[in-house]
Amino acid sequence: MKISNLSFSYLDRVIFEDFSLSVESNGITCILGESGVGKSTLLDLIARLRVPTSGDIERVDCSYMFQSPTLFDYLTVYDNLALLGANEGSIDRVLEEVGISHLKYAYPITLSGGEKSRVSLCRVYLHDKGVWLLDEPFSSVDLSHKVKLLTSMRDKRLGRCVLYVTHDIDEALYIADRLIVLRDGVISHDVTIQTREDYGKSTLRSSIIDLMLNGD
Amino acid sequence: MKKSAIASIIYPVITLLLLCLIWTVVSVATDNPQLAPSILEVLSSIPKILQKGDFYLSLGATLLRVVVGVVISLLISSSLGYISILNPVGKKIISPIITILRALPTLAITLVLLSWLSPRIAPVVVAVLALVPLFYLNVITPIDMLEGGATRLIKCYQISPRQVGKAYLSQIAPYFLLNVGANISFCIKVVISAEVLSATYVSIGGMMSEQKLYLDVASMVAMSIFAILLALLIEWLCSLVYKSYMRRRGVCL
Repeated sequence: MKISNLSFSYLDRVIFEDFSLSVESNGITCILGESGVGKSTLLDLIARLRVPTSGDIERVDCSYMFQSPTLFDYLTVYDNLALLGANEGSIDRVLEEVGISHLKYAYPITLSGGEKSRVSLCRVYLHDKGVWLLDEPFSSVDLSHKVKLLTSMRDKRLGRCVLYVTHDIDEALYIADRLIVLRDGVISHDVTIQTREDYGKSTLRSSIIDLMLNGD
Repeated sequence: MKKSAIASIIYPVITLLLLCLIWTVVSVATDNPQLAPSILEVLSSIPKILQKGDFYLSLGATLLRVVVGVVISLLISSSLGYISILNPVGKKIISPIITILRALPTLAITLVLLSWLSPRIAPVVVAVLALVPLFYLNVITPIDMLEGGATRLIKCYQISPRQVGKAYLSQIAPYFLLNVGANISFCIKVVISAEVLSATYVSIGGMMSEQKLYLDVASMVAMSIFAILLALLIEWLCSLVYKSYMRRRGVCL
């Protein structure tokens, strides 16, 4: 997935100018950065939900988990997922995988924020096409479920191109194969995590925090 | 009986008694049945109205106009809503039309329509013009309220138009059911007003118009009470349907 010389402005505010990024089709790339830096906008641009001012974005299929769950409150969880055209067997499988089989016939209006996020993740698993765009997918999921889902996602990453936006450095270090820090519309840091043991290394963690706070 | 159930009976009764008191004071103060008939005069005119065969025919004709008005408005507003959801440009074009319709003076437009249409048709058209903006908002608001926006989801996942229709209907149904009672009772008001103005033959409004000619104010008030009771009955039935619909979805009201 390749972005070349992308420029994008919103209401006279320049978000990206001459921005380029290339992402391998095998692994999870986490995008970190403070609020308003353009992380979600970048995902929207890749999904062609926004039109860039200039530049090229490789046309790819997307399985997008939006920051808000976007569920139809008065359709059951099953019917929400069936909107994608999936059959019952596939839906049952992903519900099982995400640990919400018991919510198959529940209405989203009765679900918690974390449960809604998990239904939204099921949509990505079901669609499973092209690039996975995950915008703060587990921000409202409780810790025990979050760890399970992150582990499952890490297992799934092989052969897939995943762009994962988060504010949580620990979450990013746990799951990422590559870490990108966005600052003022440019990539201020690009780290490839070679081995899983890198996770938890205080030096990497503190250097990322330094980057986000000070930009150096 | 629960406290809340008792309160739901007591407060409307208090309101009703207060209204009757004000009515009686006005009636006694004016001392003119052609201006403000007493409650007893109005009540005694009710059996006379009910005995008239053409009352039921008029009631049926007015209700038919209301039903036709509601159905046509629903079809138009649903189509406009569907276009607005699928196409942001369409929404931008439709929104000003809805704003204009909302601001349209109902009685003035009835007079204009009477020069083009028959008095039987004009009330229906007026009802449609008044209801379309209300129903359109009932259609578009629940979709706008979806977190993240349905259009993003539909576009990104290329959801088929058939499935979009299904999701769209599921989202608007509760919102629609919540408001439909009030909208129908508004429609009754608009249709009867337009009938009065058009002096529509065989209609509740037409009968009221005729009673006005004979200065039979007691019967006019009685007819208004019929219209109010009819609207209240419809609102109550719609609220029952809404509560049952929501209960089946795990929401207790």
